[in-house]
Amino acid sequence: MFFQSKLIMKNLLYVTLICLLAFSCKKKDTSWKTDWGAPMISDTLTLSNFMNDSTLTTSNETTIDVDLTRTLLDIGIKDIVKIPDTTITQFFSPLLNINNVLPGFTFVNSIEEHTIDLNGIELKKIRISNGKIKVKVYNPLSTRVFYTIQLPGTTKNGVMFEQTYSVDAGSISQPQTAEEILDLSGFDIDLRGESGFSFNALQSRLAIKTDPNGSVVSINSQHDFKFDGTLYDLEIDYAKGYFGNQLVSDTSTFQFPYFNNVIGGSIDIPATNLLFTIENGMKVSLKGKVTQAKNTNYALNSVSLNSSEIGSDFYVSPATGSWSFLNPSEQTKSFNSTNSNIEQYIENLGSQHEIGYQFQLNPWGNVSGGADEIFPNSKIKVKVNLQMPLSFGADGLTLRDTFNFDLQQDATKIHANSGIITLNATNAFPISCEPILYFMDENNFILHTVVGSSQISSSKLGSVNSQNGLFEKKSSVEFILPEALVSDLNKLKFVVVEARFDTPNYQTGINEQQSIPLGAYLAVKLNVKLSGTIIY
Amino acid sequence: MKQFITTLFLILIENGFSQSWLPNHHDTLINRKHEIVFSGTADYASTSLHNSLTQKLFYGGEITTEIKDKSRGLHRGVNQFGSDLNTEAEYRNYTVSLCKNPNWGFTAKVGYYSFIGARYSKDLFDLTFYGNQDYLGDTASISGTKFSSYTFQKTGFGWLDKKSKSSVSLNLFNLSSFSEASIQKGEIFQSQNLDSMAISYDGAVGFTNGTAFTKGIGVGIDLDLRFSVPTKKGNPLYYQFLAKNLGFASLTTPMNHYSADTVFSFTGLTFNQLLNGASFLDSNFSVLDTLEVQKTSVKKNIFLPGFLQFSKLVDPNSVRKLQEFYGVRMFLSSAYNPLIFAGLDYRFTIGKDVKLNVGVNVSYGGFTFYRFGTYSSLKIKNWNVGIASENILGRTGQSILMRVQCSF
Repeated sequence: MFFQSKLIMKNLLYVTLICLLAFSCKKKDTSWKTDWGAPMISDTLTLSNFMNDSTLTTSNETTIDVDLTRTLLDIGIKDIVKIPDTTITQFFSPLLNINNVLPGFTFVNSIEEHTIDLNGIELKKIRISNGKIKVKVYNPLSTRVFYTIQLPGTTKNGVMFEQTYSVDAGSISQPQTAEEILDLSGFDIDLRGESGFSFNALQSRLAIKTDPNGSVVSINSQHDFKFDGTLYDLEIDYAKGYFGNQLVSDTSTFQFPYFNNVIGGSIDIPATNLLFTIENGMKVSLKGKVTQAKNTNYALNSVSLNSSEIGSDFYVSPATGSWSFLNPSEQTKSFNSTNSNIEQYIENLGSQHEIGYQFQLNPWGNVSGGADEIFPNSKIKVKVNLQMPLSFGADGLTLRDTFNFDLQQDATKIHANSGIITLNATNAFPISCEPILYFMDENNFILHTVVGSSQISSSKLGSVNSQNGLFEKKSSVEFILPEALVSDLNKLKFVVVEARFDTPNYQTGINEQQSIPLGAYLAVKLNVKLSGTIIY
Repeated sequence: MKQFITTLFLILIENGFSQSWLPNHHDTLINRKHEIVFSGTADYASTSLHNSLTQKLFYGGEITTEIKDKSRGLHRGVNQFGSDLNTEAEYRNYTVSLCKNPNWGFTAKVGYYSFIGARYSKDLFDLTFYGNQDYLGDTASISGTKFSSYTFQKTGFGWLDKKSKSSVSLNLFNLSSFSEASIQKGEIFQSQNLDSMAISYDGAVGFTNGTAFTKGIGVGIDLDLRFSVPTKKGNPLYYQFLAKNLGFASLTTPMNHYSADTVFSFTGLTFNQLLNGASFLDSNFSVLDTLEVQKTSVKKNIFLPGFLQFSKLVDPNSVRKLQEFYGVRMFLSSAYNPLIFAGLDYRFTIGKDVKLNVGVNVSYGGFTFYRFGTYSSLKIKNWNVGIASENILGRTGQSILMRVQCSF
């Protein structure tokens, strides 16, 4: 009996132990493998994805033309005529002593002219679009004085600039002052002076009146009545005169970013026309020339545009008309296959371009008698325009671009083990593409290379879609992400997408020029399948 | 994500331990002054989860394809899982006269309870353990999924009838964790070539969060009502109505509550989205916003998974050594079906103060279908110890129940 009870107690102890182990202690994580898939990308690429719509045109509703225009220079009146900050000062100081000056007595100074230094520019008339004048007057008298400042020739809607200030009593040693800042926007300034034949001449006149209600004072030659007028931040939108023969010379550098990623291969383009246009919207003669055109590609090979037109002077007539009826004149220089090496220039696939130009105002001097005019809408522009059918041949043209990559996972938690990225594409471009992915660490060292299982085939290998009339070819490319790659996921910081492009003839397999049809597209559907481990 | 997986995981484990082991005896220790009862239950059951998988979930380890396949073969359209872990200590005092009534004593008890109940679809099991690649070109449905999980502690004090041993106690509960999920409609469609996915869902998930031991407090009652029915043969039949943890808890800290009723379609990102950081690859991307999931913090009252059982008891004083017992059992959980049980008890008299009861039983319902159980109970003087299993043959559940009873 005792033995039986002991046995049961022993069993009970065992069971208790088992239960504790079973339900109180979870010794390790539970894990299992699952396979998940999901769409990642669904998009359709057309050429409008890469360029602004105005770049691509069509003349026959079948093929596409490239009409690429870039403005290299666009300058206006602010760039030609700059009015420096200018201070004009006018004094009135009596030559004789005047005793017992009665209240309300007025002294009037004569008109004074102040010349603005404009470095060879001789202006007769300007219009202020923006700017201010700071006026400061000094009163050395022992009674209040009223100052009236006039700027003859400076008018707004036909009314001369005139300001009157009341200045409290001061002394010779400590003259009292008054100061005010006035807006000059919209004022016309006649810079021909009092005679009407001068230039760059700003006129002023000062009138002084003692306080009518003040005391009788005496004035002597030590009393200096003065005003300072500081014109600053002046901007003009109209000018007439002679603008000198300024020489504007520059080399514009711009990037063609699509070619930054080219790392190999070549292209073959059709006949191309590159136009330089100088547009003159100012009523002033111009002389100009294109001094150089050069591009440099990924291999640091530079090709200069060679043509008799490079370095040759050309002349651009003054614009005609005025104000809103202004008609710019222009001069165009054309670079084509017959007068230049333009195709070689383009086929260099330069990503960095340098274009030098030079132009000079009034190459024959002041032949207009100072009647040159620049209006608010007057511009001098230098434009470059490339026109060519969107047709090219690619032979192993290889583009490479690098993207940041930062996916982290914890192997002790839910994580992926391996995967497959499947790219299903419908290609309406006559271009084939072989993609490769390189996965790199933070030191740009390639840890893994994933080659697409096949190429995205050229549309020429497909058939015509009766709905849109385009050749289309469907392709499916798989990128296998092996366990070794996925286990290195935390180390991977960059992914390089490299693609080799060809334009094969579907019969011969030889790469040759292919026209890009209107409406060409690449529809991409990309999904990912991951084998992962759930850890709980 | 972990919470999601946790939820999926827990939804898949449906567990239903009984809180009252089989069979119930009408105690013969009434002449004692004091009585202490320790009991423990560890029970899980399922309609479809094979033990090999459940054990991995409980104890850890890799769930291999073979293990998953075993459970997959058992799954039907709708499946259940439940678990009941509890331990309880009760003290009964027969010496005092509660309210000056000589027939009334008192009872005091403490207990710890963990309950999980889940109802889920086969597709949910497949998604969780296999992924969605078997559903290409098809729709996986997780509609009708229900899940709830409770962990709480109990302190109770109550009235005891010394003759019938019936008792009623008033309990205070400490809710230490609670989570629930209910998906009225949930469908996931993925096209054959994986170029589109569509998810429609109408459901909610909520759970308490944080490290605080107390997430809610509550009140409730336990009932242990026993009565006898006279028979012509002399020995009466004893019946018991047992109710435990009938009550509710009120959350003291808000629980996170996520709800949504929407349809979400996804065909992939555009290149602009990918390159401009407006995708799920971007750190600022909000999955919940994209899926139109509303997140709120709510305090609410939670009904605890009360236990109800009506059964015929085994009378240790009966002249019949072989006795039958039967009854019906219920947990107040939507994932739990009413369980009926029946069994036979045989009493060995080994000595003057030593009796051994052994028995077998069969049940149907609860978190699974049929279960077969056995037990043994040894009474030595004022000690009574027993061990039982309500599921000794099943592939989809395990059960261990223990009780130690002492009177002095």
